[in-house]
Amino acid sequence: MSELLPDHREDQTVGIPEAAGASPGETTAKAADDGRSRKRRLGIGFWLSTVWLVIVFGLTMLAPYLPFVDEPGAFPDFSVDPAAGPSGSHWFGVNNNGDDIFSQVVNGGRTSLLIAFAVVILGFVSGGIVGMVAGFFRGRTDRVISAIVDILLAFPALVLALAMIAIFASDGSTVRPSMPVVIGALSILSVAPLARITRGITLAFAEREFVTAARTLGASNIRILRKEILPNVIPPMAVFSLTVIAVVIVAEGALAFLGLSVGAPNQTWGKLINDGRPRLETSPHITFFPAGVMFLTILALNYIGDILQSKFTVREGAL
Amino acid sequence: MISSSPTRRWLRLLALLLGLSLIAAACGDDDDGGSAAPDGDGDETTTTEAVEEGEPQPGGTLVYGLEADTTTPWTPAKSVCAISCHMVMRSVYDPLTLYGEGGEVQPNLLESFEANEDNTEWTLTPKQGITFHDGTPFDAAAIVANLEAHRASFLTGKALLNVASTAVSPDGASAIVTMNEPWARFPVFLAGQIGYMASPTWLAATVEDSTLEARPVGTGPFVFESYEAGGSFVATKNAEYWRADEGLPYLDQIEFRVLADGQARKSALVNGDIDMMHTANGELIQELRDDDSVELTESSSYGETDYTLLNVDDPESHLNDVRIRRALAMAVDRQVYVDRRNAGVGEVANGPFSPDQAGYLEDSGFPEYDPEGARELVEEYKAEKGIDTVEIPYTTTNDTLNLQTGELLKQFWEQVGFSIPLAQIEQGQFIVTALTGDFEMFGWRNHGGVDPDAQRIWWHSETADPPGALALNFGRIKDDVIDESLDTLRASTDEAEVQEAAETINRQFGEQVYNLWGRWTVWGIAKQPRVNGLDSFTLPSGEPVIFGNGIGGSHQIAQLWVEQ
Amino acid sequence: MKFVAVRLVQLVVVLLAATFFTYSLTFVSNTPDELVDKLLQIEAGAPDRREVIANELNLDDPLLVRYGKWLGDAVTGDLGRSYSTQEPVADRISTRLPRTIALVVYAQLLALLLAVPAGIIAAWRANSLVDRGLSSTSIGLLAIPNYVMAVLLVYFFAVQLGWFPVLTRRDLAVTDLRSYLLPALSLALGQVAVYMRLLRTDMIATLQEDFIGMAKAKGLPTRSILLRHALRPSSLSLVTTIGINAGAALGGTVIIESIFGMPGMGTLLVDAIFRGDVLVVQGVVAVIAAGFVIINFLIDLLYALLDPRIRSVRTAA
Repeated sequence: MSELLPDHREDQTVGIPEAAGASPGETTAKAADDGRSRKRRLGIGFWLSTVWLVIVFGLTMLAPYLPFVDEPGAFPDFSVDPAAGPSGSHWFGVNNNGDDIFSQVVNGGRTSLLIAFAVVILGFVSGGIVGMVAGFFRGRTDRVISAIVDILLAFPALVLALAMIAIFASDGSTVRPSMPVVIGALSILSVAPLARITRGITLAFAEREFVTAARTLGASNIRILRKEILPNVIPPMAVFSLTVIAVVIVAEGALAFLGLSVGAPNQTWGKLINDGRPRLETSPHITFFPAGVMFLTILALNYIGDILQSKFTVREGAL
Repeated sequence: MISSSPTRRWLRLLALLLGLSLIAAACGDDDDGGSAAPDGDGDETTTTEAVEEGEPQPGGTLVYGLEADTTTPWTPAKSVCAISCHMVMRSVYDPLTLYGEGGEVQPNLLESFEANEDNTEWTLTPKQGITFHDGTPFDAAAIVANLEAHRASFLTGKALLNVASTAVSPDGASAIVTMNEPWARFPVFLAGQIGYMASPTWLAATVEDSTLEARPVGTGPFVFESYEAGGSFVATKNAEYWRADEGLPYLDQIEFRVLADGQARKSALVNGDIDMMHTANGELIQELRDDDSVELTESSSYGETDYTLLNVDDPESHLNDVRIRRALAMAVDRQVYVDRRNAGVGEVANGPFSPDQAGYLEDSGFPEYDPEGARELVEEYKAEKGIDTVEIPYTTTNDTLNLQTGELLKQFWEQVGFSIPLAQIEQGQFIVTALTGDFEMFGWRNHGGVDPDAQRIWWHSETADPPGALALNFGRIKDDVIDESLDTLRASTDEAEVQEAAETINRQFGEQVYNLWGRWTVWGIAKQPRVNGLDSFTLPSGEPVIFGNGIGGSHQIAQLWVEQ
Repeated sequence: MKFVAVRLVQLVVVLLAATFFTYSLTFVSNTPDELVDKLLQIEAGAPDRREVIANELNLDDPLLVRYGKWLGDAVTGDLGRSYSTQEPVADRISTRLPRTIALVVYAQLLALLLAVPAGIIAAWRANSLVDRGLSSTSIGLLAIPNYVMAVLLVYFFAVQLGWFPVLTRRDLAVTDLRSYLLPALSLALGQVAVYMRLLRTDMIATLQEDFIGMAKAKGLPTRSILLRHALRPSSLSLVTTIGINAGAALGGTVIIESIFGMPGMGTLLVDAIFRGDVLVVQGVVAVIAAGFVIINFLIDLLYALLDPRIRSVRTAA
């Protein structure tokens, strides 16, 4: 087993910094043990997760066009009792004010997911570039970059994100972070892990014969990076990003919980969960529905991410 | 509001944990969350449980759950004192006067108070034989020292602007307070924060060493023991209490614990972690009504009003225009606000005076719910100014429930054409922000009390310092009609005249819409059954004191006792 | 030894970088005047305090010099003054730090208490129903953010059953286990899943080794095999992960402390953020960074000590 455990920092890579909860994707280094997953076809779990994610992404992204989803900040429904449970007209019930929880969960999901995507794309691009450069050029460049990445990886990310929000968002004693600030602060979470993994893959590939061959043929570094490394780096990164999305959703939820994420009318899942806390005893549905949706989404992302990752790692081994 | 059966709950947890459930497992459960039937007229103190109390037993400790932290020092002159602060203060301090039956002010620490013919000079004579916790005698000089401390304070000094001078009488037996203008109602103020008597020795010491401000010294039934900011204030029985011959206080120790989260406070009471608590939150009151394990007393006498405070003196703000203020008032269906934010507990307010306060009017002229009318006003304003948006931020505390109230109000206002960003401020900064006027709309609660003269500091232009400076007239109201009425009722001894002046003020508020009235609060004081004596406090003369002594939701504590 | 020295340098760089980062951000987003304005408001102070505040923060100096002065003071224990409570920042931190450390420690202990037996059982009965049940549970647990877990735990155990307080006291004692249980459990349950899977993986591999086969053949009782022979060699990754997580778990404490109203570093940070009390934010970040650096350094030492020995053990076996 110890051969699969290089520098313990590699472990950290796949166990992404503990933003505020889930530590998914420990399995890249561990997949080898679970021999069954190698041979198992994509099981029912995989397909259920995919279906769920399709539903969630579909509903949230199409939300503005869906007639059964109220727009954010829509006027509450006073014809229903405050905090009434699920009914025909309100599938997830309403909160005390009379807002439709289903619409809030969908709209909230939209905000949560858009933030997560933005963060991951930022991380993908910047982390990817940084990682490729480090893995390809090695030497001093690599050491400097790795040191910085290590710093970012190592530090409790949520604390740093909070500090950033504190500084950029506060306006006297009112804290109203805007979308860009939240995305910026959370991006810290995604750059380092993605850089790390890109570097690892780049390192592995830069040794390969076809790269040496290309170089002998006179290809420039840029060309090699573009044509040989990049296509091999993107798929595993994309798969890894699935788990990073999950982490960012959780982290953004944590910020919303503290009241430090984007403000009204954007409801994020974290805020919705927090909103229901004073009423937990009498109207638990206000919290449980957004919590449940968030939970299933994270679960699905983790699950698919894990399975796809193990497939990719296997392919590496076979080469 | 009863939860579903235990089996389904555990099933749900299991399902969540194993990730096998569909959301369907979580629905079809629990309560239907119906709102409570609206409260009655609520101007009487109502006790929900019949109380069989018996003879007071000395001894024991009591833990009281407070709704907020007091971030200012315990020096009466430096304190921004809301109900949570008053509850603590009453353990270590006594006021000079108290409200007896019918709202008549009676001497407490004082032996007597007397005015001259035209109420420009008051003679305050202290009772003999009372000492502060540090041994300093309570005498005329102590009264003067305290009043002077208040006069020098930028907070409470505003309430004493009418005082020309204070002095000890030649024979040393009384304090003489001379006024600039006749002040018939002066003793009323001595029942509140101004009247808490602190040891002059301690007051002098705090000037040297401000850390002493956290360790108050008074004449009260309990002696300060310890205090941690945001945590617990502990005081122990004062064996030398000047009413010890009556057996007071009964408790050996009282602890005030800050539990800002209402749900947590209620849970703590129900679980037995604390013995007593208060709340103004309608939903919690409703839940406490339903809970048989605790005894609930509801009080709305001389109660406060929940409202939206407006900053009306800022030339850059749209609030400067009465049409905008009217539109904001007309846009909100306040009954919905009461039903949904407070489970129907409390009445819709049309003015600062609730039904048992002087100045109450059934029809004060305050705008009724009329969203169409509101929309028209906003359109008219926009057209006239040539603008597309009218943006007015609404500020509230960090608390989830307050934010949700803000969200509801926001939705009402945006329906009629406003744009309302929501801002949240941390609780400790909230008061400061009000004082400096750094807000446009603010969620607030105030104006309880027996005597309308006590409201002067909030509404008179003399306390409307400009924004940036600290002012008690948070909204910076400068209205001649209101000023005149306040001046009248300060000097008058004629009940009818006072009533009329208060009504005039009420009508002026209704017309000018300086504040957006919400509801008249109902306070709930809940306790474990073993706690007794809640409403049996009397003056030394035996006369009962009105519940709360004019501060809604509060009560005296010397007379509380617990079953051993 | 060289390795150790290099790591030390690296980690000190981390510390400097983190503190410089937060420090400079404060000034990037505010001009010195704006900053003084904000702090003045927090203090509710008179305008003549402007000079005092400007001096305290050395606002006349260029950024690097200011940072240097702050750093110099920080090293001697002076982290400046909290503008909202007028206390020294270091005092506020020192009363709260033990509570946060206690939370992290309790959480890790709880996680191990649950994860080690579960991991051993799962490995021993690999691919059985029990194992799969435990696996599913851990996948589920991993998907529940710690704050959602806290809400669930509060709902069931504090609100419904009343066994634990919903909020902790403001003068929370480190030994008040009843108050610490739910918060620690919220943090622990997510970790349980990670630790359990790690241990299970390593144990499965260990159990396949020859020396285990030999022990079985010798007729040693199962319990002895599992606990005495198999556990230790399997715990390497677990041990190192614990260390890494302890450092990273500091992030989780922020939100858990807020939920339970615990008077620790996390609530201090959030409180300071809301009030705009910049020196407190700076101080908290610095302390967390320092703590973090120390923990990681110790882990690296530990790893360096353990690693070569493990290799030789394995090759021998």
